Amino acid sequence: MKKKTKTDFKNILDFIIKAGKLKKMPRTIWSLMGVKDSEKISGHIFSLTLMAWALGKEDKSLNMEKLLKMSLCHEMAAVYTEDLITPYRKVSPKDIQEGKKIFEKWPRLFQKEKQKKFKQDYKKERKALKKLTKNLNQPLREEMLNLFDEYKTLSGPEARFLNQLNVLVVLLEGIQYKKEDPSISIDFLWEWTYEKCDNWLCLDFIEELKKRFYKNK
Amino acid sequence: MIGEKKFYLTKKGLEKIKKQYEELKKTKFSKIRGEAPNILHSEDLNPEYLSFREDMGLLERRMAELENVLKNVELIKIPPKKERNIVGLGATVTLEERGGQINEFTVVGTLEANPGQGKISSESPVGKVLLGQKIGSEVIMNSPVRIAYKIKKVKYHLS
Repeated sequence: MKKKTKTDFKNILDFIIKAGKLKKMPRTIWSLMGVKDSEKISGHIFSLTLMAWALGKEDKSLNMEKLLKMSLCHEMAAVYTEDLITPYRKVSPKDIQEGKKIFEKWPRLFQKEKQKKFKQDYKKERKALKKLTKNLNQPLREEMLNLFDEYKTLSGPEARFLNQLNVLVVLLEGIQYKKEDPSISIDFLWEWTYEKCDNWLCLDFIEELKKRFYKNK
Repeated sequence: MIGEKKFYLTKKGLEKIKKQYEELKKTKFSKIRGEAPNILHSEDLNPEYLSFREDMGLLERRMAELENVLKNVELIKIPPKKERNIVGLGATVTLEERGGQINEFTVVGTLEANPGQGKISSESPVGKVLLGQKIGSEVIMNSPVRIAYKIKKVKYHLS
């Protein structure tokens, strides 16, 4: 096996330090909703990766290594783009004041608007990921970019599954915040979940969430 | 698990699956011939195809999945004129929600769904509840939160 050169280590170290910024970056969605001490982007990636591992094991047709790596890559671009919650951008104090109202509108848009936002975000995130990975060795960089592309375009079973799990971990997080602060509305997260999920594992997991957190409904 | 499930695809979606399959086949042959993988990234190439370059087992499994899709595909067709006010596969549905908010998406088969781009799966809870509904109908989902949709417009694209 070929030994790593000094340059490889330097570039990997730089990459890990940069990606580590995600440990301090809050999730826009919770900031807008005024949730205090909410999870950071890395926390979201951790929850999604765990969920992908635990639930993904139930579907033997999925490639676990690919799934977990894809989960790690899916929001890495946020190092440069910050957390893009379509259709909103940076969080201003005014946004926080209006946060709850903002989420009453989201994610309801005309299809053309959704497609436009998707393209804009995808382009921006891809550019950011290219920047973040630019000094990594070519095969590793290629792998990260390809996994990201596959995730965004939902062009394989792992991407489709992960994309649905992504909304489930957000919903679960929202449910837990709502338990602490009942004034938070997470109705839009349910709507989002019902639009996104069709995988049997995800649908069964939704039933489990209902059983656990909505016993009286 | 691969079963005898039907896969509903638009003409464009079917072409994409066929293209994916051909790309995987080419990759497999070049691997068998022992050709060095091309590591230059191209925006035109299917990202999934690229990620399979190193793993033959994974590649063959994915090819089998796509073969199964191609074997059990059902092309989404535009319904007869008198049924075009009903939500079916391939329909773009404009919905009015609480507070007069407009939501719009196309109902497609699971393989073509991408909610971020306004394409939802006919097997999703929203897709299921909308299928078969007419313009003017109100559809309500009650569990665990109440979501009401009024169907304002149903449109089928001829292309």
